[in-house]
Amino acid sequence: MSTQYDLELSKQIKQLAHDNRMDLVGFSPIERFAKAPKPVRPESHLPEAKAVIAMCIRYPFALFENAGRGDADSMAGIEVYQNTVIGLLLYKAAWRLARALEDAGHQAIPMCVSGKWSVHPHKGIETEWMADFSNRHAAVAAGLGELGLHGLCITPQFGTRQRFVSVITSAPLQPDPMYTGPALCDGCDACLKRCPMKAIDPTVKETVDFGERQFTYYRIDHWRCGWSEQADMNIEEGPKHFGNTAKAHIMPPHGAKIDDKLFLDSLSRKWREGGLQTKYTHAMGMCMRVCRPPHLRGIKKFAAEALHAAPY
Amino acid sequence: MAANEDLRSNIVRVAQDGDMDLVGFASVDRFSSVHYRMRPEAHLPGAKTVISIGMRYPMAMYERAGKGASESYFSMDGYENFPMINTLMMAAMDVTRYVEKRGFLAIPTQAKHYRVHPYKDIPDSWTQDFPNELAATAAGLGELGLHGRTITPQYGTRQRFLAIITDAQIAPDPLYKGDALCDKCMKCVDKCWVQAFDGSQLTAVQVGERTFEQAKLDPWRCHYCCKFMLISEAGPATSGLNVTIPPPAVVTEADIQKGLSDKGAKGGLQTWYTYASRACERECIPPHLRGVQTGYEDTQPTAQGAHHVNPI
Repeated sequence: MSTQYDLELSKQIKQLAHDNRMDLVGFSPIERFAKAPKPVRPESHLPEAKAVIAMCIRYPFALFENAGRGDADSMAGIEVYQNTVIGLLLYKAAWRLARALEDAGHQAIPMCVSGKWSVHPHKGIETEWMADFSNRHAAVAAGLGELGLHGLCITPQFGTRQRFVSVITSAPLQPDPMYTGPALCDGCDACLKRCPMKAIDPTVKETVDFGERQFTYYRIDHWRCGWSEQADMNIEEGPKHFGNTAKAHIMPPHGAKIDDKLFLDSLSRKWREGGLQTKYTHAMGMCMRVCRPPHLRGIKKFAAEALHAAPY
Repeated sequence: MAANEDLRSNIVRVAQDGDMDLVGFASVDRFSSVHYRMRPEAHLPGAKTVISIGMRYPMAMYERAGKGASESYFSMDGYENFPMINTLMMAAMDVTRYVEKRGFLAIPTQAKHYRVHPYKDIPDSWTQDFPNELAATAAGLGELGLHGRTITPQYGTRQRFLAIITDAQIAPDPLYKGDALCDKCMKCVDKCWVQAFDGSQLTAVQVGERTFEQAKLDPWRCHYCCKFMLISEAGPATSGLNVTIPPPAVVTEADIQKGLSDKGAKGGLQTWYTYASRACERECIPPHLRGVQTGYEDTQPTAQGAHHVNPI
């Protein structure tokens, strides 16, 4: 069974990921993506693909936990370290792995860190705000965790407090088993109840299949999500901690279908009326923040054994 | 204590591996003069130590910026705003992750975001959520000058700082007690392009057992020039942007917004490629480094005409 895989290369690639500060790394065979929409399957990016590497870096516990809280009341740190440092470290790790795989005679494509989308239905996929590859789904396929009702990947080590990147490769890497431990999403619905944009629709559920496992999660209105997450127009989800006031708080009309014009006109109004402060802002996704898998509720720091993979 | 001595030396190693030139440790009681919302414990309840890290500018890059036949600030802009700040944040992240790995909590600080207007009970405008410069002085790396920047014996003002706040108890470094690094030559006040300092109003700032004096700064005037680059003589002229919008006697948000609009209309595409130097920082040469470092006008006295931009 194992002879079809390059075990030594698999070991070296995992070590290289850890050396580049990745806290978790796993491998998935491309067969686990067989039921994904064709344009976002691994082989649609790399016809010779055999495996997908999924890896993540955790948020520092206290940085995430204390954002917007205490006397400092600040979300500046989480904005900078999430959007700059964590992103750079993910890109750097994926880049280095891709180069190492090339050096070993294989092909590899480092995938984009979450943040670029086809806003409108594209290539036959009806989903709006669609990435060209889903790093969170790849993480699930590689056994790092499971999808919660919010559609995010929950890991046993860090819950939702990490960010992912993937590398698609022709290398025959040894697959990791999919996660089969205790449920990480117990359907508490905190994500649904606390979303200030009501972007989660509990009446419609999406079902996705990866390998032998099937996951169901609520449909997300990505326009409503992006209204706050991408455009920072709901001050309650973070911008108020910077000093953005009601002038920068713009909500879509009740029941309105958001489109490009409404989105961009509102953004323009926010900049115009909110002033220079709108340059300094951030929104921290409430679904991600309030999600705590059952075994991590009440913890004051990450478990020591979860931190031992990477050198720092 | 023995365990934390090991923690201390390893933190220094991690920071140095991350290209940091300066590392120091401060106890949180040295921040008593700071507004309570910007103190270490405002970010991390139970904070005991602040680790200050600093990275120097390449000597010749700083020294030659805007001078000579090239008259170019491109490298200063490029390296200051990309690799330097990112390297600092990467090092802060590495130290944070190492401290977490040792079983403590840690939060890396940032230097990008501002609260433009007074916020809750913070009376000042343009505040950041943590005083990185004061932290460097508190960690024994140098002393606060009249301009509010930390001057180090090694590099003067020619470095940038970040910090890591942690609940680990680590022995603090002694405060700097060498020869005065700020001899109140008043060049920072006198050479400011927009008279943002009032040298007649000095404020005492307590850091541990030491007291420093700082000149009163009008942050609106400072950012009018340094951040929004509305004074061509401060740097934009060297890239071909000969548009100065003279500041009024009292700079407001509306003045900056109008200034930016006017600059864009007059300056065109060149406004995308520009940089403004900080005269207070550049003209500050501590006594023992005079002749080693030079200010802007030491080699280019009158090329840009009158140094000061007087209020209209």
